[in-house]
Amino acid sequence: MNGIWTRAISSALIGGLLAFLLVPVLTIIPMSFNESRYLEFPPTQFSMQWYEEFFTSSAWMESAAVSLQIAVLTSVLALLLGVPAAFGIARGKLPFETFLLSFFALPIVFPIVVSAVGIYYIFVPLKLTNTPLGLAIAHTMLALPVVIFPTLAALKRFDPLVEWQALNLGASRLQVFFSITLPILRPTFITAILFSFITSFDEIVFAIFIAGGSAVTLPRRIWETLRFEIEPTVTVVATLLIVISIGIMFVTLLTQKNLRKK
Amino acid sequence: MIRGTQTRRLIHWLGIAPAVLTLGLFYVIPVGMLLSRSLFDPDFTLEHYERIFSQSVYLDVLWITFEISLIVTALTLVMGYALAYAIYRASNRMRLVLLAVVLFPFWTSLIVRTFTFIILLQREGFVNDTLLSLGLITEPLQMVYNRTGVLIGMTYMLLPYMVLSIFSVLDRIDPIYQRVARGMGASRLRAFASTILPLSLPGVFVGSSLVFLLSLGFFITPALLGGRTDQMIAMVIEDQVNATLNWGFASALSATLLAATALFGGLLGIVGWMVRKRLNLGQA
Amino acid sequence: MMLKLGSMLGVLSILFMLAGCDNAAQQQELTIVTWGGSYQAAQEKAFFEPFEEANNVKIRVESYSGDIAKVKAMVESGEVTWDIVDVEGPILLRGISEGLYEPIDMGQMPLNDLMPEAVNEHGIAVIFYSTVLGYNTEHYADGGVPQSWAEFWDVENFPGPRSLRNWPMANLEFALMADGVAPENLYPLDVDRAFASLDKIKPHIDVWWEAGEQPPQLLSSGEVVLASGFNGRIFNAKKDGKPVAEMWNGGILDADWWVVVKGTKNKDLAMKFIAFASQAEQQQEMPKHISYGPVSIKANAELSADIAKDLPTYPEHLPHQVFINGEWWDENFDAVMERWQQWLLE
Repeated sequence: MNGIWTRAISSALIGGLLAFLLVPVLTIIPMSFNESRYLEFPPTQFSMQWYEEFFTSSAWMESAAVSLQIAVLTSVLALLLGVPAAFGIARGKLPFETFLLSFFALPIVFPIVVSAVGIYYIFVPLKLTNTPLGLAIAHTMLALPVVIFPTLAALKRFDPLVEWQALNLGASRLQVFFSITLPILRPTFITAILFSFITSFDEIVFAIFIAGGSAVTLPRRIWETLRFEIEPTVTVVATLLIVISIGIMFVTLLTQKNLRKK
Repeated sequence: MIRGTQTRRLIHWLGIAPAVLTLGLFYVIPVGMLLSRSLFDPDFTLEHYERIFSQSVYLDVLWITFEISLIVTALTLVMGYALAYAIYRASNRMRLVLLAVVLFPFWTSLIVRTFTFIILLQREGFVNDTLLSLGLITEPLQMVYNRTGVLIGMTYMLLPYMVLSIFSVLDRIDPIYQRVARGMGASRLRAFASTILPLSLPGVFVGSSLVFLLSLGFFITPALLGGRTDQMIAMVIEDQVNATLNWGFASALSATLLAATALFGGLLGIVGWMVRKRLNLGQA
Repeated sequence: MMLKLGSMLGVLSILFMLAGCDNAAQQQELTIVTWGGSYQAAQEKAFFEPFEEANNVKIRVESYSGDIAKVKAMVESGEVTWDIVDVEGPILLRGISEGLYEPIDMGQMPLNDLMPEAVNEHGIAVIFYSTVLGYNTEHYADGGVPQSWAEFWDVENFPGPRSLRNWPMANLEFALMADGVAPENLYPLDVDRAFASLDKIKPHIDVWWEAGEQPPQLLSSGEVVLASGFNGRIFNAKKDGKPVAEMWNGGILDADWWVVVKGTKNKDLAMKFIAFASQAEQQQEMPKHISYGPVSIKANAELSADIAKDLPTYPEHLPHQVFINGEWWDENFDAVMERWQQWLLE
């Protein structure tokens, strides 16, 4: 096969795939600057009015704050619960490992609408309905698999030799954990935090069902807006989210040391 | 100081305990209680399960769900592997850029993405207009409110999961193997197939399983982008929960989905085990 | 380092949570749940804001998409946070059979002014709306708009992509009318005949819409040239300058209903609100913001012609439409819905 041709074709294909990934996201940005009340692409007239609408709308700002609050709480909780669990499974050589893994995978597999109703019921006597804390707890359940499985995978690739050496040299278990294990796993933890953050930030079904009242998240507000009146303000929200996520993205990637080629 | 195995065991159990307890209390028990409605509504009854198997519509929808999920998995596998491989072969700087692009859809709101697809793919939307003006087509293509729309939308959502799963495994593969194979005279294709491909299979496996499982639960995307024959089981379940208020039946449908998935997972497990044995890869 | 990060995040989250705590409201509060969009905006002008002013009450408005499951969960668990919900006809009946609503306190209601179709033991109608035939005005700029459902069904003389709702109600009625059944003879519905008629149009339906805002969108973007839709939404798009319009003949009239959730702590206030919203003065306000018909007899009589002509209850439009038969649908909905879902897949 002619090297130049294969290179050209494969570059074109990859380019096509990248375009496929980028185009829908990129089209949102110009749409947010469109004057028309209806969503259309390509945009016709420039206007900042929807940005004005968003930033002056107490409803949208409140939702942004609520979403942020809940996502942060979810990430913290998911990390606190999930990391020890991953360690326990990876290092423990426990008898019920497959069962435990299926157990932790349940939130991904089970239809979310049904679990929403079930969780709502439990939350009523606990007075957690319509509260940010309640939604955060529910989101943590969804985020647990997303923390546990990558951490587990990373731990399985982890060579314990370094830890043993440190122990042999007299370091305490705690010291080993904080100065050796954690730094090596830091990229994984950052991924886990970000994945749980996104799981919570973008989640909609629980947000509709379990929350409400003072806890109306961004996705829920977007959903309600789009179902009834396609309003360009949602493109503003989306654009801002894109910009924020680009920022977070670069931070993540810059800390991923293990991206360096071998 | 090396602790006794008993204490070590205890510590590991303690590590797992909080996660298990929280998941149990806030998820498994509530869900279990609702699932029990499928059999006890409030007295013992098999009518919900009977209904699933007697009315063909529910099994049809289950079949469509699996069909769509399989196709999406295949599509994301092909595209995802290509992208993961491209990232693997790219320079450090390109890697950053490519990964950022791949993760892009992941970070934007699901609903907004879906609506953007509608706007782009509709009859008089941007894609059709461009294709028409370039003369590539004479009639607008129907790309939304049908199976095509669903496949495009779902593949788009799930691609990042596949790419990351495969890439994280590819990343661990030392490129020396491939170079050696080439050095020994193997063609590009042969070198790839005999070195990279087998070693990347665990990533393929994990990525495919993840994408497949996630697809099964989709209902917003097919509802907005699909046509009348694109009913997925989660849509029906949602309808039973929210409109018909028949929670016993919704639970029965969910349990059936869970069972079908477990069955499928079991089959996958067996296949994976067989593949591992043949390729002699040991623990994946 | 992780410990520091962790504790920092922990402190931040606690701060966030505290900042997010609401102060206890001083006024009485009523929580009303409705459909969002232009409909909700109209209700705010016509009902919510005037009521708040007149009674020094805070109305908390929430939007929902018809997912009444939360109401069922609330009632069953005893923790009711929604006081009043604006529900569609079928949900009124479904909720009654599940015991989700309080009986209406008829003593408070302006009964002699309410149209008889607007009163139910467990609900009072908010407005009347109609599911009508909508069309793209640019496509039909030279005329030739279908004037009946029979003509909607006639794909040869009236070609073009179409959309109907993914929902058996109203569609079965349309199918029967297209097949030649006179409106007064519709009920009880001949389901087999209706599905046979639907079979003829099925291949020509490009989009089966779910949300009320879709038909105007689909029509104005040119995705379809004909669609069924709620008259109010189509009219609003028309007002916004979109190339859509409604055709009244054969429209199916239905009502949205105020219901009071069983077990709410604000029952009296809720009834007071419903009575307020049903009085002629407020009922005349609604049509100014959205073209749905008042349930008050006096309001209907006193509306100015230029507003009234766009309402389903307008004397010229009313005879061409049919009130949907709630009782028939309540009895037969489950079976028909299952058949509908199966039919859609074939």
